[in-house]
Amino acid sequence: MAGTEVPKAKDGHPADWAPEVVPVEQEPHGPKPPVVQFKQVTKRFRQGSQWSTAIENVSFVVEDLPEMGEFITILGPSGCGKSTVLRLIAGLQPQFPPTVGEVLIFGQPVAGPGPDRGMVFQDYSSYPNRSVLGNVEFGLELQGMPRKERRELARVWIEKVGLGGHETKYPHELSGGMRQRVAIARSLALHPRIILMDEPFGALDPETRYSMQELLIGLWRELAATVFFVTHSISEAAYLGDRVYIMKSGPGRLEEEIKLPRPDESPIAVESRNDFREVVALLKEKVHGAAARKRSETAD
Amino acid sequence: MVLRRPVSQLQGLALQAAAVLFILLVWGALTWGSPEERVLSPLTLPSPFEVAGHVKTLWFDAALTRSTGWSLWRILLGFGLAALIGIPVGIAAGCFRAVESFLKPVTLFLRNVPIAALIPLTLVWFGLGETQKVFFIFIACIGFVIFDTTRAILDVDERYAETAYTLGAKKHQVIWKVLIPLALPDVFNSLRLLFGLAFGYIVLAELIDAKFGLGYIVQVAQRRGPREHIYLVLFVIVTLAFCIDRLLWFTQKKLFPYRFVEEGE
Repeated sequence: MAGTEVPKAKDGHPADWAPEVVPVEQEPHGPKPPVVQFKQVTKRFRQGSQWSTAIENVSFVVEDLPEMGEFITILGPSGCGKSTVLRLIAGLQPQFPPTVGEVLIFGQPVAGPGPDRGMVFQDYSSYPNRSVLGNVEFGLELQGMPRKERRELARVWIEKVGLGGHETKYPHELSGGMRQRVAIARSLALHPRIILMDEPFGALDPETRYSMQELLIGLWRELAATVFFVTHSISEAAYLGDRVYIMKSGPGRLEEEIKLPRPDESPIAVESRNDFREVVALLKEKVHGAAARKRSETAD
Repeated sequence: MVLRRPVSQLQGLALQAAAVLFILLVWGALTWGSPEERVLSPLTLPSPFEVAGHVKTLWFDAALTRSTGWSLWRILLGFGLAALIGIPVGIAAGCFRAVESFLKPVTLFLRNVPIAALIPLTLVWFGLGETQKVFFIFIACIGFVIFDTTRAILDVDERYAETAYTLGAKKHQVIWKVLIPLALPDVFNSLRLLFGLAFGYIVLAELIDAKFGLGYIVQVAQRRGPREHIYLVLFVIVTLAFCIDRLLWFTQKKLFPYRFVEEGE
């Protein structure tokens, strides 16, 4: 099946859920500076006397949509530089700064990490020496917010992520899913314009994963932030993303993106839809096709 | 018996008791009977009963409590000083690797020097008396305190620091609010283990010119007798060291409860 072909639903009528495969947007066209812009970004690492290229010549633009943010999921084989892209936006070393090119946030080059770009990791996501409350208020504490005020705000966020009543518990008393809720609340309490998530649900069981996806979509709608969400799960990328970036490896490149309509059903309900399955199949081919191409290249 | 499988708690205790009983039996057998007909002469090894009979003289004539107090006090001073200086230095070395490199020759030397060889040196530097004993403990411990604290800081997963940075933390906040609190359990643990070592060192220092101290009792008993005191003091030292270690361990468990649980899902 050709990649750009729009799949039709199996049951005959045209799929109302039509993915649109397009080259990645590289030039800003709005009047306002884009939320994130990569300008021909390359990152190389020295390994002993060798240099390896994590990403090469990656360019993309995510426009600032007023009153709403975009949800961008990033898919690709291992080692394609998904995390590198995220960490470059976050300004975290050693991926930051880029070897070549520029990373712009609202038109300004990234100078380092900051609270405007919240990040949620897969593991070690909550501080073991702090209670749920202590974890969630941590960002506010770092900003110097007075104790009473930040406690109040933290409680609101604990409630929002569904951890009400668990305020005094410590991370070791929580399940993996609850710990990710803590990390999400802690990050979102600072109202970041950009939320970076590096396989945040990767270690969770499927059911927890579904409920976390729904929770995240709800919070994202409310915050109107731009989300970059790296995942290995194709159906997760398809369900969550307004756009799915497909990265390729050897070296890491970003050439195609797939625009998707947003489902208004739950992740479980959506998985039984034929047109959703078509989208997943298309994405699967895109991702594994990339891996297969890499294999044939190395064979040459 | 299945390889590497732990025994039950009851079995464990029974086996340990059996070992003690076995040692006492062998000891008793070797020192059984009147002094002339024993396998080992009472001068080499007194019988368990003779040793037990000297508890009273150790307590009163040799002033056990006062000596124990002195030994503990010396450890506390020397060790406290080592912690007071070593912990901040170790934190600095863990946070700023240039400091670590700069200190490396010194810590490497201090961790590898034969401790006993330091005694003559400290005698030259500090003379006889209390200062020498305290500084002997200090010098013996400081290298380990610095090294272990550095390691504890470095062992804090980078994720925690990165998370803090993306929450807007400045460098000093990462040091004070992330690295130090998360390294503290490891630092405490290493201090606990070092305290046990310091106990051994102080006895060594007290063998040479001390007016009180557990090492002093051992040394006097060896020269003037009764020899039974040597065995009793060894027992006192081990018991005391064990009790302090347990006490510190429970403190550790109370202070850092999250370090003593299985990872729950």
